[in-house]
Amino acid sequence: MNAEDEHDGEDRIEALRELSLDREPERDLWPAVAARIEPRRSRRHRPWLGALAASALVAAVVLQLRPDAPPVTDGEVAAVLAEPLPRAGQVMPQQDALLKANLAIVQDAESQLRHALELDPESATLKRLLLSVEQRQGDLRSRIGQQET
Amino acid sequence: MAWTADRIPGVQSGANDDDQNAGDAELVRRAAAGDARAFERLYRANVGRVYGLCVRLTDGDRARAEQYTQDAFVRAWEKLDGFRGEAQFSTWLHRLTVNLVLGERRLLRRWVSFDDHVAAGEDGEAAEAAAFGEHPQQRVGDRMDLERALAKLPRGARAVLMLHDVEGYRHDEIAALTGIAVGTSKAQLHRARKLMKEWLR
Repeated sequence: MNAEDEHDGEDRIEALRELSLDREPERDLWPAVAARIEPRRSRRHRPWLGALAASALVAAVVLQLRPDAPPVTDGEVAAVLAEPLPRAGQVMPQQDALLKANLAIVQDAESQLRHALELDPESATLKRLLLSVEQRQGDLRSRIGQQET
Repeated sequence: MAWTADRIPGVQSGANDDDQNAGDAELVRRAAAGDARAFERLYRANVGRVYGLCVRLTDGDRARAEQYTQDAFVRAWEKLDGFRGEAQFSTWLHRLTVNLVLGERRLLRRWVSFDDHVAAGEDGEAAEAAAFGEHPQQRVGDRMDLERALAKLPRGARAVLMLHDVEGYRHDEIAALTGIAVGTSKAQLHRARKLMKEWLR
């Protein structure tokens, strides 16, 4: 407390000392609070969850386009991201809708990665995955454009 | 005047408080790691103080006080990663709540600006009375109890009185939390005390 505030103290109203500060709400507010707080694991692990989810989505997108695709595992994600999409001539007309649906999924994956990066902005892995997702998104847009022309 | 330590943010007075702080620190650590049960215990221990503060700052509007209380705990959960333990959790939560209710929405600035605007168009004692929403003749012999007197204060003056004289904040802290000037805080406190003393004598 500084000197001026000490001076303020001389004028305090005694009766305020009797004032009750605590007051319990008339209903339990915890359920409403609990519903608003997102489930959270440690800060260290949270971005990885987002990254893995996004990676799995991207892997699923790529593998869906390949009829002979093996089951997806986390260890295959990086390799799958590096694989090229099928060339235009290899995509059947009925797969056009699938390409568009996959583009939407990749966009969602990008959104998840950006959210994870907000929580852990320095993560080199997340940045690398985001770059891969952006490239994949570009490939899909390009392929959809080719299908439409 | 001797103020009890539990009324002053950041000040504790005994061994039990030390135990409480150690318990809070562990709960905060667990909550920051995502343990909602630990955060619920922090909520249970502090909700009375937070809700009581919100009721005071919202003119007794219980619905708004409930909403602000929920918002304060949700905000606290979101910001737990940034709580470094320099202050007690209860003090940190208290300041977060004041900032949420009065600071971020610039409520206190609006309230005191309105009070000043009203007072600027009047003269002397009548001006002050008008600024505080009463007729001068009502002030004579009008003794009230504490709660009624507080309720009658204009919102800005009451908020500053509560923060400074009841909650133990300094003027510079009030200014930092709410965005009003230090001089404005002092002026509002002076007005509030003057009126309260007249009404309570």
